[in-house]
Amino acid sequence: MRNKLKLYVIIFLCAVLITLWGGANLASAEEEQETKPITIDLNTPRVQPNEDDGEEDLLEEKYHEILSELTISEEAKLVAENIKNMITTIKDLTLDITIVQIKGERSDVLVLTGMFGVEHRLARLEFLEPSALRGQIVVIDQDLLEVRIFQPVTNQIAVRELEDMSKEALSALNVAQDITSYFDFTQYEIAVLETKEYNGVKEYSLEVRTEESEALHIRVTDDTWFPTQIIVFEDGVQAGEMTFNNVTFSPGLEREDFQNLPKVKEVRL
Amino acid sequence: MPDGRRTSSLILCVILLGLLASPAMAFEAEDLPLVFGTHGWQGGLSLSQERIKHLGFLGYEITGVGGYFLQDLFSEHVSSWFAGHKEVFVGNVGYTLEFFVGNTERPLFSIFTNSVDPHIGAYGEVKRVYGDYGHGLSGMAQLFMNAMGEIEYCISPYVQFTRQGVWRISASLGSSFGLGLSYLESGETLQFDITLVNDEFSFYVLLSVPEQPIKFGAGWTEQRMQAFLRYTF
Repeated sequence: MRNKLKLYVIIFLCAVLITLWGGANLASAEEEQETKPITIDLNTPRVQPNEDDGEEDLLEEKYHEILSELTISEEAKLVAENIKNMITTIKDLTLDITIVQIKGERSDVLVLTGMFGVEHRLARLEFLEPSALRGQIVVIDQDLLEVRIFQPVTNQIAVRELEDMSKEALSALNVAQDITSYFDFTQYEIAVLETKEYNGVKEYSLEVRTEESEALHIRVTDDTWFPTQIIVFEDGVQAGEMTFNNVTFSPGLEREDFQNLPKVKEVRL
Repeated sequence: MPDGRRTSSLILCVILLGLLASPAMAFEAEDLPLVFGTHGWQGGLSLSQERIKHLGFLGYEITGVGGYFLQDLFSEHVSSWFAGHKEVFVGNVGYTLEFFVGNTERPLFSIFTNSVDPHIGAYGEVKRVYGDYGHGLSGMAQLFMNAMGEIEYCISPYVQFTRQGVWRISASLGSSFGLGLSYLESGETLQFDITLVNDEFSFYVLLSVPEQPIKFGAGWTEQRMQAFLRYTF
């Protein structure tokens, strides 16, 4: 009996240790909540959300003051205006996106298909490459303010608040923001670097200087005025590029086309 | 009160106090399992607490504690199993690490109380999925707190595919040898597990009633049959 008692004592001591271990992890997990890693940087220019309205007005005033002093060619201005006007006419859009992020000697390639519905306020991303992300489907619903992510590894749909997502990896891309605003380059310092013509279609290479050290080179043709490639330069060195293929404008997508996910269990995170 | 029952009650109290004293003061899930198993009818309480931390855009980490204790309805025997675990899912890769203590086997699905000697152990798993296909490796080791101080271990490589749910074919290598097939329906309402380990056949099935806090489980091996009803509140 004494021997048995010893065994039981060992068991409950271990149980308490396990509990404390779990608790410590819970506590540390909570502490770490504030530091969230960014894994995807789409490097597209964006309008920064502002916290203080007064401060925003002052900054905006200064910004436009500086912009007005810049010499922007009429041609560059026209190209940027055409891109902006084209984007604002889009109701919905499907396209293939290839993002290359250059990290020193190597580069990471991300391939995904995208569906964007301006009227439906829905977006859907399906990851094709790399294999570590293949099969993941992300549906962003701006009306419900939530994101549904189908993950093959769990065979579940994780539902997250849109607000949480914006704080995470998509911090470079505010998912609550109107997608068309990402293609408005008119507020930046712009210049036409190169113009080519193929079969009567003009292709422009536009330089957009978003910050002192960052510039975007945007390729766009005058038949669609939709950017086909965006190359990101940081301190004069190519940091990455984003290519758009198989672009279909306003294909008449329904809400169901965006929301069609595998019939699996949903877990609210 | 007989010595055995007093000891069992003491263990339960300490485990409960330990769980309640942890920083996670509220339990996410509590169930009342009613089990018919190795020791006849058993009733008890199951508790679990999990915390989720987001890891970037497509990942999250679950840290939790949980377990159960069951008292035989017509004897003083107590079955219990408690564990702390961490699961990480990033993209198509998943990891699990778990440390446990108990006097039943590591529960399959949720509760199947196959009594064994008191032990402590660890379980780990890594898996990778490519769309509908995937593979992984799990391993478990446990040290028995008996006079022999035996150590048991098991390594299970597996492959899986998704067809109306996840089908997994695994091998069991180590202290025991065998093969297994398991299925988890997409909505997670039905799951079953068939194994042939050390020439012993076993079959377990778990049915969750959709939108209801009730689960039914049944298990059959060559030596015994088990069943449970689990009510979550």
